[in-house]
Amino acid sequence: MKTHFISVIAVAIGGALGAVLRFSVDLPLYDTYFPINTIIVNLIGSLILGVLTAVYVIKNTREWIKAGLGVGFCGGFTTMSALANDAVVLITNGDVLLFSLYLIISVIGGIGLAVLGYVSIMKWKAGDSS
Amino acid sequence: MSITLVAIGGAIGAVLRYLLGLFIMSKRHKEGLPIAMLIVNILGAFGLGIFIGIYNPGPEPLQNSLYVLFSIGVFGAFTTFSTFSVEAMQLIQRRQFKFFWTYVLVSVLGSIILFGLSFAVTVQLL
Repeated sequence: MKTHFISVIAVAIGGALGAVLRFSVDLPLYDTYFPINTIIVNLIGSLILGVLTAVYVIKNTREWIKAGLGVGFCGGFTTMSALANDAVVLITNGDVLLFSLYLIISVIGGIGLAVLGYVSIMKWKAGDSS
Repeated sequence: MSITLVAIGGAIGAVLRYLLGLFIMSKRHKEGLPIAMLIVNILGAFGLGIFIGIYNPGPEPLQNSLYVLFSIGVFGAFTTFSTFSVEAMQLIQRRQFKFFWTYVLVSVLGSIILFGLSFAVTVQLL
């Protein structure tokens, strides 16, 4: 297990920024009926990490930059624990429909947007170099 | 004030995820199920359930310092959804569909069930 101090610092700074940005989405959009705030951060974060994953394939990126942007920022911006919390609140409210909708939008949307981000950059790169 | 607490909590959560992720990956070299973030996410959801079970943030949780520090900051940043999405995508790319379904279902349902369970048990015990 090899860790570089600079990567840990990058993760800390990225994580702090990501969490603060997520909080600034939570503040105006916090809604006990349907947690749209968590959906928004998770979908946008998945799109950004999909883009970054393609960028790393194309361009040799330093480890601490990858750690700061991907692990720190995107990881700190998005959250699975709030998703679990939201889902349990929806199901204990008896909203089976909203519960299902919430999970379907989050999971299919998140994976779909990661693919979209990744494929878009790879296609753009392929078109660029030909 | 709240922003500072979220930043501190977010930094701590993200660094813990990074270190635990590296530790788990150092124990397992096999390519297959990306178990590191699976464990991190389930553990984080479990921890948040205990926290919310112990500490009721009231009707306006976002105005509550302890809630903001731990729930939004530490647990929010310790767990991740973006890495979940990208790792699921990579399992599709590698055509490891069995791993894909296992990863997605265990991550999402596992986090929800363990959150609910740890919350309910904590509330019962207190």
